Amino acid sequence: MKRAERIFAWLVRIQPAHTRKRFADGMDYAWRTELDVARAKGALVATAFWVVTVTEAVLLAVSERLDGRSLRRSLTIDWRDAWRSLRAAPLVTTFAVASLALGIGGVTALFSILNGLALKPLSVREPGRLVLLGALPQKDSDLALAQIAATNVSWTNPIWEAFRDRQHEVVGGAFAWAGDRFNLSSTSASDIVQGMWVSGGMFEVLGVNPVLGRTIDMRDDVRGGGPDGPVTVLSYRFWQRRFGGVPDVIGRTMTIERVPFTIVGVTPAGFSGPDVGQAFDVAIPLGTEPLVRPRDHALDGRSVWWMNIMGRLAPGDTAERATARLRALQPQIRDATMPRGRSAADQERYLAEPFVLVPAPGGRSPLRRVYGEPLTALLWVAGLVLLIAAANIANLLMARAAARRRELALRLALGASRVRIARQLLAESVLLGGAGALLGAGFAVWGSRALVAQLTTFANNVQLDLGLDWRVLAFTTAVTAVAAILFGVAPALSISHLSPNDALKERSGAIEARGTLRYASVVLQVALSLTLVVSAGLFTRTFVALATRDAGFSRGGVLLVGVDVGRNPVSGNGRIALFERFRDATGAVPGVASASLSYNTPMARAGWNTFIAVPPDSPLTRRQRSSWINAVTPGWFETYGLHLSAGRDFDARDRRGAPVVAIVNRAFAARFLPGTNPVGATFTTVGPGPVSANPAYTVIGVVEDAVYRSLRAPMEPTMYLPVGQWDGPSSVVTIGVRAAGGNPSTLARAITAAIEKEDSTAVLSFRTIEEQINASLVQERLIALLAGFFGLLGLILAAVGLYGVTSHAVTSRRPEIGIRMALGATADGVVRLILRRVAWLVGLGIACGAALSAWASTFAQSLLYGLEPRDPITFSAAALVLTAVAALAAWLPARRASRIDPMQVLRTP
Amino acid sequence: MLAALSDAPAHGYAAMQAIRETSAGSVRVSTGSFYRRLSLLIKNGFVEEVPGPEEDDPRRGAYYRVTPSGREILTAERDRLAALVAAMDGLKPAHRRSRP
Repeated sequence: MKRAERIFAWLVRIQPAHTRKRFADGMDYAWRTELDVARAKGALVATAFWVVTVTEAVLLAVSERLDGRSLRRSLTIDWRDAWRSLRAAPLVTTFAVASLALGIGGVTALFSILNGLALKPLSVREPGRLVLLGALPQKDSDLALAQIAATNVSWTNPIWEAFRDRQHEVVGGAFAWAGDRFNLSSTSASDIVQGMWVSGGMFEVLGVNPVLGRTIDMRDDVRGGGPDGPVTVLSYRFWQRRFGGVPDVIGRTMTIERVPFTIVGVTPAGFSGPDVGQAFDVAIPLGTEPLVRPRDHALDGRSVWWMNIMGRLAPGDTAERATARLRALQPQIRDATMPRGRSAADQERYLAEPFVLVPAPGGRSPLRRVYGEPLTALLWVAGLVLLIAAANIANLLMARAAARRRELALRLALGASRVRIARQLLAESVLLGGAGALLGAGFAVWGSRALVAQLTTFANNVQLDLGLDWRVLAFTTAVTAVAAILFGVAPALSISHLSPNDALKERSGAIEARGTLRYASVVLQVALSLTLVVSAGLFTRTFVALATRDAGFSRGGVLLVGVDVGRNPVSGNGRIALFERFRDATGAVPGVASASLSYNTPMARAGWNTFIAVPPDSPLTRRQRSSWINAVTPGWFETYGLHLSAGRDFDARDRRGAPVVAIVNRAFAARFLPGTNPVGATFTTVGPGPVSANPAYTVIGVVEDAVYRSLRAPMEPTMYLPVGQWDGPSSVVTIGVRAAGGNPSTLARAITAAIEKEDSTAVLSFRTIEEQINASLVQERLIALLAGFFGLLGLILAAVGLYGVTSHAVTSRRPEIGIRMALGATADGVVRLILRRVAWLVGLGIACGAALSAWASTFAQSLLYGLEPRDPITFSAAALVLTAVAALAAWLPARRASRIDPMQVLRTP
Repeated sequence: MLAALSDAPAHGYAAMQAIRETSAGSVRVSTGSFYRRLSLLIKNGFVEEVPGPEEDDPRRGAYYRVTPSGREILTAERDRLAALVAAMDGLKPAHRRSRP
């Protein structure tokens, strides 16, 4: 009701004082009563109520201000006139509407993505009361940091259970969840959907009621499944997509990770889970995890950080008070969940790290962190395009107002008021703005969907709620209004000197409107478009630098086969033997040049690291002491195109019982084994390493540096150990397959058959290394693409603006040019005359634009790679491109001017 | 609106309700349009503001009643419409031509 009250107060405030004084109470009472009635009749009637109420209140304010003159009459005439005059110049109108639509569409599309990502509350009951559990990095961190920390942190199941048992001392209700990808296939082919592990109370705490059946409740969330066995709840979207929305889906059995689950319910259409951007398809109880991962389930893992915890505050409570109560419980929770095998210092840090509850009405979104900054940068870029479009339209309208000076002066002479004429010009602007906004909204709906589709990769299925809500509509309206005022006021100003006499005394065709405004708008356009071209240049060069960076491994020709053996009972040595059989079977497939197996692959999103022991007096910071780890089979370096620069590759000798060996990269050798021949040297790790006894590793080879996880990171120390010596091998590994020739993806079928022969329970997934690299560059590619698009758009708009101004100048200076030519000026001289003024405008624009870009580009520093924000090459190239385009745009009318026939001009009266 | 306010003074919302009830919902009226027309009627002197009953909820706003000139307009309009209806009632049913 609070929001409604604010709107009512605003509707009263926009009325003139006398109306307010007389009717405020009565209107307020009537609105409230009608709103109650409308709400009782449902959402549709309530929406209609708001539309009618706001429109009528605005009309009331306007008609009261017109003081009794007929509202309808005074408005319709203006619209009709405006419509007629816009139709009379279809080319100008089309161009104006199109450039406006692209500008408005661009900013609206980006805003609606930001809205879906960061502003929109979850569609659950009272999202304002939701809080997310986080941990503060330092005791005195502020809320903004806490919010980031809460989004990025994850928790172990023992922590959740400890919190769950004490939740009612802190919040009204709490739940935990974890996003995951589930395989619905019952064969070794994969059918991956977006899954979610949920604790029993999730749907109840969120206040989400099923559209069909029931949701998962406490009884279902017990280890091994509740009274109905393992159950699952489907999302509305998945139910529609997979089952065509049939109602008898309840009670059916669905295979998830080879375990039969009973479908018990379907969630409503608007609900996509607490993770924004990652809509779930199927949700299953946390308690069923031991069924899905019988060998290595994580429910008792005190070091497996995989879930998030959310709570609902009791009515009237605040996040700060709840945090204070939680801190009182913190020692008990931390103490009961201490991860095993931690050093004393780490244990202390674990106990001290303070819990915090941060408001989370919009849910949790890791995407927000990744895309928030680039989207905001792009929003500014699109805003610049809109500004250029507005300046351009202002120019066009001013030119038209100048051309219509005689007509307007005649109207004045016939008794039209100045306000009336200004209103007509404004009406044209509003019509243009309205048409631009409508088209722009359509463009935005399409554009934002297309953009979100770009964010989806093989590893990350991004789904955002992009529906037009009041925020997006208000934003578009505000943007349009600002643009319409920008380009509507200029022409109205330009006729302010008009006098009725002008109609009588001025010759047609020889009238010059005030030039200053138009020239200023050209300078503005050139400056802004330089900024756009610079940003396009910076982002494109960043993308190219990353896409062509020498990653150390070969970027093509390798097929990555993800293998999950979690359902096979073997472990330890047995599992390693199985992996080796997989590798051999894959290597024997015709068309395979080499096959090798590893825990991690280059630029996968996962990482594995440890700390290397250094002398006590080492200057290395804690962070610098870490090294990436990978476990690989012999031949792995060859498969991925990494060159051994010294020593030997792993071979069959390197297995358990033999001396523990490692191959390190150059960065590792330079940091941890400086000044010695690394081959033959030894080192040890601190804390849990890949080999449980923490032995001394003997370096048997040095390999060239290669990117481990991110193309943006410098080459980091990496140690490789043989799979044969790996303690507690993971159930998920990847086989890298280099094809003997042609597209490696075509080998997938044969490889599936080969691995199925070894283990029919293994679950496989396929991607190429190119796909994996491309997925890591989604953000950069998107920014470069959009910045390039907007840069081009800005360039075209500036060129058109310049062309228009020059053309207009040529037209109005025809008599002067004619006389000059009659007196002996050459065609080249005329071209120079025209271009000289343009050169001044462009020069001034470029100078302003360079200053603007130099200031603005520093904000984009974190998005750039391999170049400075004020990169001189990019700046000069952008200025050059803009000058060339401007020269072309001005040369066309200048050439026309040089072909003027002086005799003809002089003869014209 | 004049008819709705002619019996006794009423506050705005009550007058809107009266219009809806007497017209059995066929006349649609919203708060904004009601006050826009009310403002015109007051300006033309057909309706005036009067103090409401003392025990009434002040949040309902002012009470309004029809002025003598408003009553004249109402009577004249009522008479004109009644005459129109009477004239239509007086028309004979159209003669139906039968086939030969």
